[in-house]
Amino acid sequence: MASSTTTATTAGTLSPTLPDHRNAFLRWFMPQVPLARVAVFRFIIYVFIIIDVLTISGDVIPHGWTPELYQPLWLARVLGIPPVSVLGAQILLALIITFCVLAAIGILQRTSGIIVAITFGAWMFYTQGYGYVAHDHMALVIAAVVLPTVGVARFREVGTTSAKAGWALRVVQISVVLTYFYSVLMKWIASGDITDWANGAVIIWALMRRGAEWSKPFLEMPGLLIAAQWATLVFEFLSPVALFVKGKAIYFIVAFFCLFHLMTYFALGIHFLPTVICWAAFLPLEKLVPRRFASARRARA
Amino acid sequence: MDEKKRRLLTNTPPGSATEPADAPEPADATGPADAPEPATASARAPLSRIGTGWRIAVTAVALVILTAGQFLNTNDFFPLGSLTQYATAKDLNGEVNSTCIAARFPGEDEPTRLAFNTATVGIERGDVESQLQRVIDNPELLQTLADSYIRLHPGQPEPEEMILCRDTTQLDNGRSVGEPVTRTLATWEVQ
Repeated sequence: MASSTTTATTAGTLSPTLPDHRNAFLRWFMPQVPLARVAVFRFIIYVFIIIDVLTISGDVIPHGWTPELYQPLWLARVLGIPPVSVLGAQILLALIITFCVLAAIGILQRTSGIIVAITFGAWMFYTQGYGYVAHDHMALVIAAVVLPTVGVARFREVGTTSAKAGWALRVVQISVVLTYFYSVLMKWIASGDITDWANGAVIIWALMRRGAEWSKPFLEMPGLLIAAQWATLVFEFLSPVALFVKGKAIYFIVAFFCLFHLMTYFALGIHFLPTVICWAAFLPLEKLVPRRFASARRARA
Repeated sequence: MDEKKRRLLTNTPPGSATEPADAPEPADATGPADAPEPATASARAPLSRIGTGWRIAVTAVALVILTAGQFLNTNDFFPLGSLTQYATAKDLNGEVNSTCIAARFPGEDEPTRLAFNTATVGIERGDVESQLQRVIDNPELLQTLADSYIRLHPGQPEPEEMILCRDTTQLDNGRSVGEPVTRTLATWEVQ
């Protein structure tokens, strides 16, 4: 058994595969992945959304008090979404939590997923629509939108693969990678000359504005901080590699980015968790399903 | 062929004696067998042409919007907006600005610095900085911060005046020089 699965094991599409006669692009873009992987990923995402709306993006309820500062984003203007009221925010919060719980454990999967996509989407417009737009939520919002397209996926479906599941996870992976890769592009555009950014004072600026006390001594070492800026540029630029590596390399890449975010969290209080959590889309999460449970019932054919 | 498929699908492979009869190891589960040999897994029905088509189309459109968002340097297309956080180069010999908020309470001469976050004034510093000129031009917007402060601090003294300020630190080759200078950007008598 082991030999029959390991031969088909690649990190991005780690699945026991049937012969796949599609062209190379489709095999990459919509790989056949186990439905159990989506079931586990979905659980992680929906549980995280509950944590997110209560903590990271918990500013929506206070925003109910500051309607004058509402600066609706394009889609919110097109849809005519008005500034949020405190009561409206509380109702939205209740809906998100309820349907995230249902979606996480797999009840009314498609319906609950769609309702989360709509309500969490609205919540995002209310957390981002008051001036500052953070970009750490891009992959998470996209995950919430694409997950309902997979349809029914159960934890026990370790041996059942689906291209719909593969597409949804691939889209999340692409969003994660572009969060870094396009930020290099943006640095280039915003700074005119990318070397100005790398040789400049961005980290110094960030540390002065919001640095933790222990990180203040680094302000005396601008050379080190400039080196860190160059290193950041390099690995952000190389991030698309994660979409194409095979084998165990993906574990290293995921761990590397998680460590980077852990460091910026301790130094600057920037955790980037909504993106960090989406790195899970790169991993063979079906391995987390206890074998007994996975094989307790036959995967539906 | 169909008969063979059905037989394969319901077959219990050898070596699963310790498992219930209908519970083969997943990797041993046999799938729809257009494969020459029993495959190691089952696959859901392949995606239809339409299912494949819209997925490619939607991804492509999203990519175009996201890419346009970068070149137009706009956050307006959220969640497909520009990835601007910390994207602007900062001069090693420039200034580091940080916007601050203060309130003058009854009976006090000196304003008190407030934490610039949602728990204190209902909004984050970054949100106000992103529309700073608008707030400076329309200082009555500070009323909403005062209202939030009062609601979030029931039973405590209410501010008489809100002061939007800015701390500026001068850099010299990446190192800060002297103490930060504070400047008032806008004030508002709380009503």
